[in-house]
Amino acid sequence: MWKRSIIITITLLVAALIVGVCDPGGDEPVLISLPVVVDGDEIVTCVNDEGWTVEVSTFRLAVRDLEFTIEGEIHAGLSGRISELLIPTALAHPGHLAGGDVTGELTGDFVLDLHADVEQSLGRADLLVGEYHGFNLSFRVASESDGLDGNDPLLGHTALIEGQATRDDDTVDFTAVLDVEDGTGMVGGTFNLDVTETTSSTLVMRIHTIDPYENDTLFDGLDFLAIDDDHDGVALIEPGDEAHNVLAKTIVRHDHYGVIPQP
Amino acid sequence: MSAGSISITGEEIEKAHPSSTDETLELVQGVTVVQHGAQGKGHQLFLRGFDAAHGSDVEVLLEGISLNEPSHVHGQGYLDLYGIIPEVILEIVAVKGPFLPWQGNFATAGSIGFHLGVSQDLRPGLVRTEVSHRGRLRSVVVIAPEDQPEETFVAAEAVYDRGFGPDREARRAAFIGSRRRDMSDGTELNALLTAQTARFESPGALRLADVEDGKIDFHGAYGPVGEGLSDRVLARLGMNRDTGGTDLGMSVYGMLRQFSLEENFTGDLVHEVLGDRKWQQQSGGSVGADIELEHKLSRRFTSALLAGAGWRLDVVHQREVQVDDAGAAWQTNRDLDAGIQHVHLFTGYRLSPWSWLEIYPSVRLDLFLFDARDQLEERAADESEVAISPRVALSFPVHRKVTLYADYGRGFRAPEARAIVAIGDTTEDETVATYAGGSPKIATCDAAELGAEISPHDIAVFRIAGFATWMEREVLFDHVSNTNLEMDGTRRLGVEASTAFMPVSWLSTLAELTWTDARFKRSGNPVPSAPVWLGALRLFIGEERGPYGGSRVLWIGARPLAHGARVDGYARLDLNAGWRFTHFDVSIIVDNALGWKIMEGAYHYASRFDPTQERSVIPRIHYVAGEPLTARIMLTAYL
Repeated sequence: MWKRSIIITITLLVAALIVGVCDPGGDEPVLISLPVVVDGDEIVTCVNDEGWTVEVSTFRLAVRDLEFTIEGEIHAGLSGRISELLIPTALAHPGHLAGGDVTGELTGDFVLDLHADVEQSLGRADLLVGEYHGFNLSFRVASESDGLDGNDPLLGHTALIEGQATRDDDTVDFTAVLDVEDGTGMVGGTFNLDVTETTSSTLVMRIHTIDPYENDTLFDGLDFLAIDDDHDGVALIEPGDEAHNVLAKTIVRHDHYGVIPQP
Repeated sequence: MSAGSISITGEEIEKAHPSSTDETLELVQGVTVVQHGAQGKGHQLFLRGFDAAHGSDVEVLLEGISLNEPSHVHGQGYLDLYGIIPEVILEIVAVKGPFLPWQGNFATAGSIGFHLGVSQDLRPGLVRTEVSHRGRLRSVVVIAPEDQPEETFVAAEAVYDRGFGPDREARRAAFIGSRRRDMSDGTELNALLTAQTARFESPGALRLADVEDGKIDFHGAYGPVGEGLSDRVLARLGMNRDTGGTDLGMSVYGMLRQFSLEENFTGDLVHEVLGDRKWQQQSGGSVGADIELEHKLSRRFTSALLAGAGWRLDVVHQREVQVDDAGAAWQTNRDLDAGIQHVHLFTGYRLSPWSWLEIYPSVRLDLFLFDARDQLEERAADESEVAISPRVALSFPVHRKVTLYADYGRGFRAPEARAIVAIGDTTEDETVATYAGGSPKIATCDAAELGAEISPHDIAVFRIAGFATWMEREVLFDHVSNTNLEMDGTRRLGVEASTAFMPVSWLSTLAELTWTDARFKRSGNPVPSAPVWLGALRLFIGEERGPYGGSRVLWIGARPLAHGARVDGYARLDLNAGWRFTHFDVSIIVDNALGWKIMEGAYHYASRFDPTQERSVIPRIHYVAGEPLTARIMLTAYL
């Protein structure tokens, strides 16, 4: 009996050792590339909480590095806008939540022109296959390296918004030049897509003047009549103004950002 | 005991020729041990589908004292076992799953207890020197007077390891003094003192793609070198008294601890200019006391009442700073003082109403009191948490050759101090505030197992157990975001089988196979890095004196990683041969005898070590290499 057992043991031993003959390797998840564009379809006329109807004519924004996130294994009870909770755990130490949930990206500096009549191509994003639930980006300061000429009002700033606000008989043409600290992140924009090896969607990034979840607007908290202190019907919102801080604070919120997959 | 319980003797440990106590853990079926630093840094542990990281799900006890650090800057439950010298381990008792009343914090996957002593056949001691062809020198001295009990000895160990690759140099030393005194009235008095110190390097992990592209050697390191230190002093005084029906045990203990580690696992992914290197420091101490009582109750059938209580205070100071490659600090991430009190009570009743049934129900109460102050944010918080853990272990010795087991138990893992102080994070986003400030709770798990032990013949033992563990939710503190992460629930199903065969006195074999399916309940995704298949074959040939030899094959199947990635499995063959004389022993040990490349630890995350490489946050496979072929010669003189 024991001789037979030894033979079995040795056989199993040899079989196990065969595993080690090959050089070790691994299988990465499939990485696919999808086009990313930006359009102004969600830059719509809105009524803010002060009763002003705001129509935007220009919306330009300097951003950097789009990141696309999967939900990961966050507890189901926290679902919903869960992606805002995710952080780039990609730098986690092995054994400490190793992995991370940023699994797609489009790197580079961009100046988004969200009121253009045509889609603006940003490039192609690389994404691991998976079920995506959010995206992030960083704000930055526009510079001449973006191809802006020296007179461009966006130069040296993060965002330029122009438009007209009306309430009853009052009309104010406004220009907002916004500064957001370089590197400030927008975390948790909406992006729901099950990315598979055969996915060929175009990812359309949009900014929503009306938050699709809570219906608040990008211009809430702004009383344009108060901003137009000389009552000439023209208002300039610039760094240092209280209105600037209100608008800059709103523009970094994830509520107003979304990526829609389109066939 | 329970279906997954196992006892490993000092003799079995001696046959395995471990070069550190962490390696003795691999004698426990189902345990995988990964070193991603160098000797001196705690290992990463896996058991029954749990990635216990540095100890968050495996409780390790030294003479009843938990060595898991309840709040550690480098990882919750951090374990450093380098203070235990393998030559003076008398017994390892492992209980897989949380089924017995003495199992406490971190015993979600199981508990492993070390009992120190020197058996009579090794007394009055030994002097051992071991040298490897890769530059490891290890010396051990054990002095154990022959006329004293097994628990009376002194031992010292010194190790210098050049490392099998760059950035793996380590120096460490340990001392253990233990004394047992038997009083005339049957009382045993015990005193234990351990001291350890280690200075070590840390190579970090490598991107698999860089190795495959030939950019770096399989056993290489990106550098600059990471460095660490780990020191601990532990003292324990204990008393046991058996009054012929009542066993009473009491102990008081204290520990002093110092830890420092500078590492970089992500290059300059996040901080492009200054790099992502972090320097973590921790200092502090612990004091505690335990009492346990076992009282026989009935003479009609075997039964005993068990009760225990304990208190422990851990005081820690943690600091983490970002440093550049020259070691200059440029940002403080964390500066925390904390006190954690842990009170436990348990009671159980062990009875055997019939010869074919043994019942061991128990219940355990654990109370944690946290008091933490974040010096960086100038924020303080306190919190209390309670866990109640019912457990029952049933064994059915239905035949003299067959025993069946059925066990249920609840395990738990307390949150760490940093999670407590994160409450009240001031963010204007309500959802994030709710999340970050979500009350950190004790993570509990419910576990069950069914098993059998069959001894068809005196020379063979066959054991099989099926196990399942459900974790309601995982609460992890993410070290990157300084935020509590509440992970989804997990479930683990598995089977482990082993057979030991000793056909003749000079031959013993052991074969073990474990399969585990560990998944998040909602997504169905596998728990990253946890091995699915794990097997081992051990063979030992030899008598008490004369020539001997042995081998071990360890096999780990392909492992799932995060995001659907996967790494291949590996096998490793260790061989040893020697000659045991009356007063000397000469051994030659060849670890990883076939020199296979081993990806011991594997992970999926993003990094950037090549400055010319475009920054990408998309995760990639990383690994830490296992030891290549290493030959050691071990000389032992028995005093």
